[in-house]
Amino acid sequence: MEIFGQLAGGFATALQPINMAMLFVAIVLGLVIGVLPGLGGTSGVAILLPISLFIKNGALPGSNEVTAIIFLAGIYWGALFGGVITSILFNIPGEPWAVVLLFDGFPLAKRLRRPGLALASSFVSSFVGALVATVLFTFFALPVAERALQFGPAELFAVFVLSFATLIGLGAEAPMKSVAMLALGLLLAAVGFDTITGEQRLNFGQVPLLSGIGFVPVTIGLFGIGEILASAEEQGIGYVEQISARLGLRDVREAFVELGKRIRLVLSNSIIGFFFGVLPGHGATAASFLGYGLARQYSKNKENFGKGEISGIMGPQSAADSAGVASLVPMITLGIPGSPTSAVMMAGLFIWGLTPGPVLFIQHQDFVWGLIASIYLGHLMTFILCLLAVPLLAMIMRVPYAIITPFIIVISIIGSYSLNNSMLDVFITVIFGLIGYWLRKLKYPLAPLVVALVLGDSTERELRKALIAGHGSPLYFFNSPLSTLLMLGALVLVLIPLVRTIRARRRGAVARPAGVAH
Amino acid sequence: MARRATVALLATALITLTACASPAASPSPTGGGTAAASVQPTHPVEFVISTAPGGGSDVYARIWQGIIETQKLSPQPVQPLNKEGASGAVAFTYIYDHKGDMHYIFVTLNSFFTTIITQKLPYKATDFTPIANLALDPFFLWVNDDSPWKTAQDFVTAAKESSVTVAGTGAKQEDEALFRRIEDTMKLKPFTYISQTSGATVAAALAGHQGGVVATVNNPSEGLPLYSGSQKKLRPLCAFTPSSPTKGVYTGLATCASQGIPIDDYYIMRAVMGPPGLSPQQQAFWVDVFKKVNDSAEWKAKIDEFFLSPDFKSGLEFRQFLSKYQQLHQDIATKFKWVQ
Repeated sequence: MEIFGQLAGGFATALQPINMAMLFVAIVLGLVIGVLPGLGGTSGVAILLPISLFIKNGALPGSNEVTAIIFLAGIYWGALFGGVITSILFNIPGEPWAVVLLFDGFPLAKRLRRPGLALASSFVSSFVGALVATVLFTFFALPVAERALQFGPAELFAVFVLSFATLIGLGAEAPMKSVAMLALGLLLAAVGFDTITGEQRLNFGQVPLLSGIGFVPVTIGLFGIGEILASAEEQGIGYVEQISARLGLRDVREAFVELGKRIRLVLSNSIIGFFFGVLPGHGATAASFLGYGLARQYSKNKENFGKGEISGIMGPQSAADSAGVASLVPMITLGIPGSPTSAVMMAGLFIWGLTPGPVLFIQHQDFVWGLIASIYLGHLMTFILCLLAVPLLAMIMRVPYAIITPFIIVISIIGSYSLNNSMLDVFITVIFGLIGYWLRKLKYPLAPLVVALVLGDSTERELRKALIAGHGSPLYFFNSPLSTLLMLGALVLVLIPLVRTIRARRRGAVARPAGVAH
Repeated sequence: MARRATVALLATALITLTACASPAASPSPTGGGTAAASVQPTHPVEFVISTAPGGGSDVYARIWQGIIETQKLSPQPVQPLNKEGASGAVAFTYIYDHKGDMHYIFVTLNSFFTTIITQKLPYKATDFTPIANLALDPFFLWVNDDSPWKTAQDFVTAAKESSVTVAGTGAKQEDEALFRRIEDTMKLKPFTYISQTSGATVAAALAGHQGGVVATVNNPSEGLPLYSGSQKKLRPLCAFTPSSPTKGVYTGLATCASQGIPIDDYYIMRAVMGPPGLSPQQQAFWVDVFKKVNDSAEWKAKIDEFFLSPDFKSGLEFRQFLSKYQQLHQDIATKFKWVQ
């Protein structure tokens, strides 16, 4: 087969010492960027873009444009893995796609005192996700990207509705409270500049608020700061104990066993994550939420979600990493970035004088296949580095929480500031820290708010684009077979829990004599 | 251990970064006499970009920044900084708040006019200190490769009969401005305009007929990835320029004026400006830097690669251009009730 020959050629390129060395440097940088909250993969790649030009121009012996793209992509791989570390250890998302790891990753690390297992679970599922995506990338890049072009506003809206539908029932203990939080999230997502009409919304005339309320500063506040405040109180009651993290690689072994139990979930989420990642503009973050929702839907013990369920780590993480790899597919094949980070890489291509698109596959085979081979190698490298680091990272949790607390607050604040170099984000973090504490006290679930804030903006945009395209008719959502199918799927997902609840109520009503329930 | 090692590696990388980025400390020869030579940045300069990393003007800003660094045109590093949001309002306000400080410059495109007008920001485009325009980016009229329309006239005929669905970057920005101008000039049925987030997604919407989109006004460089190669998806009908392109894959493309749409004076400017109130010497320093960028072989190559019209303007000429575009956008905004 021709592809195997090309892939072998790609490995020959990627395995050149200079390329391997730069891949390693990039991955370590990416891991550090991933760990630092605020400084994300997108800005990390953007900051290092000028360096990539030097690399491309041969500043290092033997370096060329293949070295440059391997370098930029390596930062992304590192960031995809590294973003989860602070989510799991400190309840602060290191990257947008690690936000969903706050739901189960941190509880597993802290409440169930298994930080090593939480980290290792995330890394193994990341690796499987990336591997599946890279294989699909190798064999189906062009046809898949062509299919992705068919996703118009109606189809994309249906995909978002489907994502929301999988997440129904988050915080099911108090449904009305969940609905209230969902509404609050959607309201916050609406703040800022409306890209459909070009008008200002809910910004009270404040220009900095025109950029909208970012979900990263909000989640750093709600979860990171809010958790610290809540813990401070628990410490007073003597609830928090030191975690006796185990050294050695036992947690890693256990993570592999847990992966084996969930292999079907992880594989199917990886495949879904890949197709989600190929859709332009959404990337790993939206995929991670869909991955979480699907994991919850599949699960027999839904009530464990939010309390440290391993599926709640592996599900989203495999989808996110897969989508991250996939977001390079439309960038390389069609010149349409699949995620903000791949948009920056595409800028790199333009600056180096390469035009992305189908022509790249023909005229610059060494470039394309060198990149693809480096995705395999890069993920293997990242995976090994991360697994070796698990015991050391888990050890951080042995430090008494009181000592780590100031450190977490400092990195939270610096992280929010570094998002846009703006004090506004710092204020948002602090304010939402207080709100987070208050919401915890009142037992409002935080997850629905975050989901609505992350997905709200894109969902609204696609909905309105579809309504413009359909001249206001809601029937437009059933205009194509694809969107009809997706919409029906979403409706079924919405209806299932409703039917179940009604049935359960009826059974309950029959079992109990009337008048008892008041 | 691992953490310490990573920190050390990061530090090494950062040192490499600064070593690469900071040019020789010696002041650059400005050639503008002693008065001009004495005014220069004394600490790193922020090159503010009003779009997200990877967006259209981001690429240009980073190319210029690369040329400034490699040719050591500034005695202090020039650092690209993305301040995206609200079609540039965040970036423009940020620059406006640094009045008279030559350590802030920014890349501008036509949203510089439209955003300030439609969002009723408390300043005007002409308040800022003009530095230079480096190129004009032409607009083409694009259709899907499978479209029945062969000429711009076919498009006009169809658009007279019923509302045609079109896509463009942002709302009430340059793409919509051009479509509204076409609509107004040719007395067409109002276009159904779908706003997209970037030039690349506009091209994608047309390639996939997303939401029934049948035409766009992408720049030549934005359409290129989907125009070339075996899987050609898009096709330009005409160029909104006074004469046909003479270089590259678009050679011989008809002008829209020759096909009956008399618009040949609308481009995206690829320009650099500074905050209000820069002194003539400060302005002269940056004009000189960007003149050298403009004359560099790298930029000349990019002009061809991106199918730009070279158009270096500074001083009075650039000022006149700015007021002309200010007026043009003000007229469109008034006519189509973008501002009440």
